[in-house]
Amino acid sequence: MAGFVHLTIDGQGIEVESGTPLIEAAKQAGAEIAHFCYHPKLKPDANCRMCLVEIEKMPKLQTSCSTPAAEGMVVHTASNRVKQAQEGVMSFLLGNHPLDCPECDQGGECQLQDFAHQHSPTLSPFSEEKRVFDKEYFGPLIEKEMNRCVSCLRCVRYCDEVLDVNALGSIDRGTMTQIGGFAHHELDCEFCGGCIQICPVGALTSRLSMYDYRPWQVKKTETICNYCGDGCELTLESINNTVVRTSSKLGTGRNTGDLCVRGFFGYGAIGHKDRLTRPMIRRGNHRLQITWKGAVESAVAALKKIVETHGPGSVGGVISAHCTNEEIYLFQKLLRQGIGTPHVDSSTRYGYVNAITGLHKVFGTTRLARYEDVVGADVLLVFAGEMTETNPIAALKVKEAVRKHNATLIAVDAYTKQSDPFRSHLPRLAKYHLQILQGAESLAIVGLTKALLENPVLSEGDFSPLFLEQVTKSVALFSFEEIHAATGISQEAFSQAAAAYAGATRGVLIFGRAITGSEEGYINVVRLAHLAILAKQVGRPGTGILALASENNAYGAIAMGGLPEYLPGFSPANGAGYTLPGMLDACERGEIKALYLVGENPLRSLPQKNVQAALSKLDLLICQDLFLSETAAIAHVVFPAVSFAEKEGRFTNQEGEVQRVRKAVEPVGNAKTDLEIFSMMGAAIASSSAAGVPAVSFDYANSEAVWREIMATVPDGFHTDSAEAVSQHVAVYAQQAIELAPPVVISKRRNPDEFDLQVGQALFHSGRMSTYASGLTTLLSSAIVLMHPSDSDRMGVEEGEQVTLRAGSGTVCLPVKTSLKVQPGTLFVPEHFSLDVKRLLPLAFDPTTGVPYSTRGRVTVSKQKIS
Amino acid sequence: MNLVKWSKWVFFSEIVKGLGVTVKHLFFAKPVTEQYPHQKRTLPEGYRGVIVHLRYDDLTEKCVGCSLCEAACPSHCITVVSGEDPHMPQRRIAKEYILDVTKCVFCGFCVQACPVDALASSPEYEMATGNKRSLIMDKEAMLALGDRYFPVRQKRPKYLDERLALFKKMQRIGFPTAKQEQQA
Ligand code: SF4
Ligand code: SF4
Ligand code: SF4
Ligand code: SF4
Ligand code: SF4
Ligand code: FES
Repeated sequence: MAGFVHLTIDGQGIEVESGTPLIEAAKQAGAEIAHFCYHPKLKPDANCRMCLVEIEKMPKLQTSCSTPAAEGMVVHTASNRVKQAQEGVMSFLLGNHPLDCPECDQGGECQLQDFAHQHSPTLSPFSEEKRVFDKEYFGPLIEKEMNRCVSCLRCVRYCDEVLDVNALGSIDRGTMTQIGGFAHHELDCEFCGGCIQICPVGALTSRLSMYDYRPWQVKKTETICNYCGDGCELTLESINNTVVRTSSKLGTGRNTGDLCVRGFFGYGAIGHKDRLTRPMIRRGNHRLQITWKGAVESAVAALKKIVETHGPGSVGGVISAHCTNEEIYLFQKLLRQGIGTPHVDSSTRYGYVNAITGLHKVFGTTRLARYEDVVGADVLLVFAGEMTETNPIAALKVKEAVRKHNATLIAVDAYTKQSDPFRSHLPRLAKYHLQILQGAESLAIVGLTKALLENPVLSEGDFSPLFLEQVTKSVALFSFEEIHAATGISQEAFSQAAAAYAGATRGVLIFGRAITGSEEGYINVVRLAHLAILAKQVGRPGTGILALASENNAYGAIAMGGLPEYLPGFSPANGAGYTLPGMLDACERGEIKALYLVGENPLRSLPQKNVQAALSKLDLLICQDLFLSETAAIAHVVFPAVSFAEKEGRFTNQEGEVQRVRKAVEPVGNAKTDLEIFSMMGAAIASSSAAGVPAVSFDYANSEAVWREIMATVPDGFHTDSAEAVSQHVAVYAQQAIELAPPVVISKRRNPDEFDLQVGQALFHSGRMSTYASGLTTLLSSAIVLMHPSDSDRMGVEEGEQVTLRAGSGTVCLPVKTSLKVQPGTLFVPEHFSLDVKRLLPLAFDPTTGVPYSTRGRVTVSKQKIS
Repeated sequence: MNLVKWSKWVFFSEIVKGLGVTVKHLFFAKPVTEQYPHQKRTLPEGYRGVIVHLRYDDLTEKCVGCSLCEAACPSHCITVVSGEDPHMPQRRIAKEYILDVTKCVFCGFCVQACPVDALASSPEYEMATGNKRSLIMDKEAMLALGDRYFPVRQKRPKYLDERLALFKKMQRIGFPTAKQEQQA
């Protein structure tokens, strides 16, 4: 299909792919054609008429954005006729424009300014009054100045075509056409900032950075966002060491220039006033500020004493997967080689480790699908209804596949197909939506596998008999009736979905926290892997599995050996290191005496466990963090670390893509990068170690030096695994005996007061750090509970009214927000604010990986009495 | 001919001529030295002294904080920190405006660059001081100088009246400034 055509543009002959719009062809020929409504991400709309060109043998001028290049075309982009027409269009556009460039935030990077310089006649033919719009408050983060709008509708089309949110529309008529939320409502959307970025003029700008900068003043630093595993490229724009704005250049990075609300409006946490700026040590009940030298010395002295009396195994360390690869590598080196303890873990223990260990076991690799595969897939099986919230940009790829390339989406999740107004929602786009009951993921996978196996056409293939037999046995435990009862999905629905998935030419399976962070996580990952193998949607180019990560360097943390199972480069670690929950238990038993927590806050993440008691038994608790977290507040030594904007290094995103992180601003106060702190600690430990013990060097000039060491240490670097290698590994795997525990059936809710509660990520936040970003807290600053309107009607609660959630002896009061996407009988609470709500949930541990599961439970809800 | 030349040479005529000029200036010419600071010259039209800020006739400052002067200045002596007027939603102002006169070359590019004619080259040239810091002027100092030298002020244009009325109205109906919003 992709043939080439030859054409002449301004006398220059060029060759372009057929179907390329003339405007792009001209760009390749070196001629920029003025345009407003055209944007490479959007379908051509040809509404602004700015991009007119003259094509020989065509009587009228044509819009180059909507005319595809054709063989033998002779195009003139700068003939007199074209110039005249463009000047005409320009004078119409400027006729109503307020010309307030000096005050406009877009001034200096405005397409209208640029093109007006080239194409406007000096005098305006109009003497009429300009149109003036009444000023409207458009919402907390986006500023609307409709007088500047050129009605190109790029914002409207972006919000629809790319985001699938549809929050914007053009309202009113004629010259008074303006962009707005429907019926002049205040904007309530996903706040991705995309419309701000795509608006060619200053009609839509960010209120968060309003008037803080001029485009030529900012220092731009291209780095990687740290709010989720999507690994978006982000440009931090700073003036005088303060980040004033973020953006993303069109077409760059894994996100190709799109961002989500956290990337676009979440930079406020970087220079927050509550950041820790000096090291502190605890003396009695006081925290004292101290020099770096003093803090490191006292930490190392205490560590040494503990190691001497209790052995190196009495030290444990946990690092956050928000750190860079280099830092995580150095941390595990510090603990494993510097101190000699096997107890190293990272925050991937909260779920992502299930995905990696499970997939690694089956396929020998976890880099199975990239975003290109997602976009190019014809069938997508998605076990992540919350994907828009957890991984917004990866969700954009799914939307692109479905909306642009007509892929079939099969969504399996515990959400309804409906979405809230002005929010996107993957199930809404699904052709097959298997709306399961909460907690029924494992049975849904079993159902799909069973449906696949029972279809003689689909289950054909040269699978090893042992594998086939084992998988068949593992799904034979339940009949479709039982599965229907437990999941709410009929056999027919399973069969259709399974047939669609197995019949795909390029099928991609995506799963997220609903699988990895919930009960039976590890087994479910393995079950999904089996499903993909049976459906033959893995090990072929274009097919694969993508595991979504909620932390920016979750993949890197595991690849760098930040967990007891693996050394750097996925080589299995010998010796029994404790996982994070294991360490806490060992603290409580008195086995672990010193704990080194980097960006980790177990008091917050595991409130059900008696973490307080465990930590108070420690002789030494070192916390390294940006803010004084709950855990840091009780630590003996606190090291102030820096955010992603203040350091150099590399993050590995959920696809396994290693990307550079660059320093945009200087560290606040005396804070140091984690890398520097580990080097200092390592050097102090090495210098104090007994003579004769070969000291490990921690002398690194910068992160590059660490990276070189990593590349030398990790056997074959970070190779991309070929489809053949994956198939071979699967063949080996299929010869082994597979032990899988049978799926657990969740009991039915007994009475109408009982609700299934899910705690999870909200779109506007990511972990704790985002709650320091003023832009994001304007959108959501405290806990709420999402409830289906049918439930709230039944209970007689209004939006915003408090309800009491009760489980066992615990109660929590939260305001209600109605939402169409949660199923009736289900509640959703964002995890970022309320600790108490987590206490209502049971805590369970994965038998294989030790992942703590504490996001689901059952509560009774009552309307709060007004007393 | 040769005789004339010879006689000039013999009688030092050049010296006599030169002395004549000296004598003329000594006794007949008016002195050119001005008794500065008691006497001051009138400056020519378009003299470019210290840059000052101007106001409109209703004493509102003209500057809108666009930083174009900063961009135009060849010696990088202007720093503009723009922001939203904390007292008026949506209004752009220079929160801080600093001119380092020690670096200024009095080229007047900034005056030319300003889109609202908020700057002017004043006739002020007496900036000698023992305290160099006093040569780093902020907006208040520049406005004060402007008031001194440009007492005749431009009338505020109609479109600005409209804008100011709009800002005031927005303030009245409680339109939040972007920054208040963030702190809340
Ligand atoms: S979701 Fe909101 S911020 Fe994003 S493009 Fe749509 S209207 Fe703009
Ligand atoms: S607001 Fe911007 S992007 Fe939207 S129609 Fe107006 S000019 Fe175009
Ligand atoms: S939070 Fe995730 S999706 Fe959003 S910009 Fe950052 S990396 Fe991209
Ligand atoms: S007069 Fe010239 S050197 Fe002085 S501030 Fe203006 S632009 Fe800069
Ligand atoms: S003085 Fe003029 S050019 Fe300079 S910031 Fe103010 S308005 Fe802009
Ligand atoms: S860019 Fe072609 S018509 Fe607008």
